[in-house]
Amino acid sequence: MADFGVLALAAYLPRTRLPHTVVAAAHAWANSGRRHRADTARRVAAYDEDTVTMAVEAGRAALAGTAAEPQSLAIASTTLPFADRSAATLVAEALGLPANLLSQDCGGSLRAATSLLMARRGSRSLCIASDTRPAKPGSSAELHNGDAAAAILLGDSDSGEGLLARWLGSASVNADLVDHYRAAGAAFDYALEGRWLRQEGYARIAPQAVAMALAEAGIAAPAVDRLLIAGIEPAAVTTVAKAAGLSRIDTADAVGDQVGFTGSAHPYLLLVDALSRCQGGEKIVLCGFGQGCDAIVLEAGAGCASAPQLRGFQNLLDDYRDENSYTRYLTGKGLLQMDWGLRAERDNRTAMTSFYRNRDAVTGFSGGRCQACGTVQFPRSAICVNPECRSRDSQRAFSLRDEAARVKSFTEDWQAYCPVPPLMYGNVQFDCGANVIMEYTDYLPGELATGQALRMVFRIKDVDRQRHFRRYCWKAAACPAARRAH
Amino acid sequence: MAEGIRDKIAILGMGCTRFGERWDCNPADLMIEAFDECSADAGLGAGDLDAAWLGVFFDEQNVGKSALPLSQALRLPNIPVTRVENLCATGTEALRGAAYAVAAGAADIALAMGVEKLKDTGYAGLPERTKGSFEDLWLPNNTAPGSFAQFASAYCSAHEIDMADLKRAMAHVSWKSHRNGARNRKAHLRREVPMDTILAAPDIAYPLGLYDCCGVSDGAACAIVTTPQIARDLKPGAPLISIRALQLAPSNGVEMSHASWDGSYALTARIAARRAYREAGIADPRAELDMIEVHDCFSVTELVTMEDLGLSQPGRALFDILDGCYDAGGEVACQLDGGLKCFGHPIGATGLRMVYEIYLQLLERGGERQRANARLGLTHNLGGLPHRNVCSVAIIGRSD
Repeated sequence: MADFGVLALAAYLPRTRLPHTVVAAAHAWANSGRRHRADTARRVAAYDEDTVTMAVEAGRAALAGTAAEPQSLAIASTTLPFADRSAATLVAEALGLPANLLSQDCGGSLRAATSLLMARRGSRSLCIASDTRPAKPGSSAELHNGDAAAAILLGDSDSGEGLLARWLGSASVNADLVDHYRAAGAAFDYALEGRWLRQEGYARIAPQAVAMALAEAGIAAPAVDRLLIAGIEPAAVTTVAKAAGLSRIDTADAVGDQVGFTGSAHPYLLLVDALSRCQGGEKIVLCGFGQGCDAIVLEAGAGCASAPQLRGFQNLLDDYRDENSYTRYLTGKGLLQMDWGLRAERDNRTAMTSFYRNRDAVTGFSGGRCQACGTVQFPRSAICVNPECRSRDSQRAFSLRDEAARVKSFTEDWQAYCPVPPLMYGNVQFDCGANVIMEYTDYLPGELATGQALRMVFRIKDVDRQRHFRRYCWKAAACPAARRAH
Repeated sequence: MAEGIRDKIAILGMGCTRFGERWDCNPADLMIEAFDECSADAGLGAGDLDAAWLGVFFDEQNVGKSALPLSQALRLPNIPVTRVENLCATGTEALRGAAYAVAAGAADIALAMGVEKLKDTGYAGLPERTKGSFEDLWLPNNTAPGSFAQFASAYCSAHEIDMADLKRAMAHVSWKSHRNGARNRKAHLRREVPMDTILAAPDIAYPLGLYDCCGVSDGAACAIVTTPQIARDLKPGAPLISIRALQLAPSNGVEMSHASWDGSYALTARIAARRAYREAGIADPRAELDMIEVHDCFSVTELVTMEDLGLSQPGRALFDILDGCYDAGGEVACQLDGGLKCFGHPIGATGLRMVYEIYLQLLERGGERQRANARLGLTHNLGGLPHRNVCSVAIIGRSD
């Protein structure tokens, strides 16, 4: 029988990091007693990012590490932008995956992502977890939540690839312990004190799930090398480990301190972090907690830490920009209504019929490559744009999603409406020859220059506040590799 | 190539309102103000017109659609009126319609009217508008300054020019136009602006500062055109002001989607200018043109336009501008009336306002800003964005 487990996995962290010191300074007048460490921070999705766009980035990174094609795609999240519009379908189209893919959204609990893995056990499935949990200004959650996504491609090893982690066993315990909740339509969580959650929740429920999973895996508790539990401090993880009879446990959590607790995405993020640092053969127990606990026992694959997507995780952790303006953070989150003038009244109603027939261009960033002259162009058109060619109906679909490109011209526009001004845009020259006018994102004023290397990213294009719709398109961001070199 | 309209159309009269924040005026009032001047100049009334063209751009809080706004404002005797819109070339497009009707013999006397009431929109700059149901899904929500600012970074790259040097040349463009506009009672902004003020102004869209951008105004301008024969019959002994060329070049997608365009110039302007010079029989524009009114919506647009019109060599406009070649007393006077910088840009009116200044200069009615021995002038509009635009070029001359 083929071994089943993790074929590929990768994380996505939004680039902005909000240091806890910035938050604490803003709230010092109201909450002088709050303690925070000087070196901790959380990641914050940009104003044009949400769980869908982060899921695209995570899924893209995971699929880049494998030739295996998923048969299904599912997204776990408690903060999907639509209650009734499939995020998984949208993400699948943005990733250019085939239309006959089974796609599904999962949510309802911070445990959704581990439950998803268990539900997809045995199938070649791309499971993506993505969350941007809202937090009221001044709340503890504001400091400790984080925004991120991570993706895991499950499958069996006879697809021709080695597993990054082998699935040994799993188990679930359900318990309707309501330490926090967010009612349908509510803007924020309602949360009780953490001590009850740790003592009655994690410390009592998680060990039961771990024990059952280990029993299924046929592994003795002392053989476990790592216990990954999302949502609690390392000290509390140690308490759970002791209760479950585990020893030799590494509870270091670089992710929590620097990224924050990323909700349903956190278990995947912890697994990315662990596999990027562990030796082949290590036994890992991965837990997801929320109205009960899931536990999955995995064995690290040989050489997992050297897999490119996992090696890249440290780059993601290192590639951040500190947000030093608390009001800009609030504005990006939609928590501070700045007066952006009459231009912000722009009506962004979407012509759904147009979007549907053009979604390969809009969502898939698919242009055309002329079969007669080779010119790549966006958008695809009936007549080739090359003045020397002008061939009719000669273009085949050609996605610019992963094509290398450079800044040809740019501006920083302080007149245009943008929730986090200035709006930046300009002509983008692709190495493949295409030329597209695009919005630039993740730049601060003064950072853009002609000739800079770019990477395409899927982002929110416009929000229709009147009709509660949002539309997405591809934008150009600085190429991380070029940024590091710089 | 068709022989074109050179010397087939005479301008019999023109009118232009004072441009500015005309809070007390409806668009109809502006059209009447322009037409009254034009009518008196031509010696003709509404009843003498065979056909009319109305140029107006915005639908938002303006005059509404169709021929009706002009027909009703002037109580025209139910003659054919055509409403045209072609971005910032709208005013010139109205003139083109009227001129072509006369050239075709379909009308003896035709009116071209351009009007725009921008100040009813309630905010600075131009109103946001849809680009089309597909384009809105992926094109950036650009503004006019942000789009034209693209010229700057691309121009610096193409010619290896430092942005600070480009900024100085752009400042000279604005400084010169405000100096000219201060001498024009119909201009909206009539104060000279010191160079230091221009250079220190806040960014609107990098690298364009406040004074690199034109204002927002209300205004109307119009022309009555006819055949040279009728003009001579109606005004015996008067100098004949004739249209030597009227060309229009819209983008076809090359700039937007093809790598052959480097972003540092307006491709359509080069095409329209080449055709216009051929139509007008101009071999050396820098030597033959006395004055030009170009689309200085943003100072960088005027800068690249000097090259697009073949007046400066590629990469040399910056130096020619700083050398004063396009100042009022320079080789080719540019924006003698103050340009868009001082008139603002009531879009439907702008092209006709430019022709109005050339017309005044050719008839030696320029007052204190009169260019000596002015015989040949050019107007230029660039509507849309550098990567997707409509360019119009008109050449107007005087024959005695």
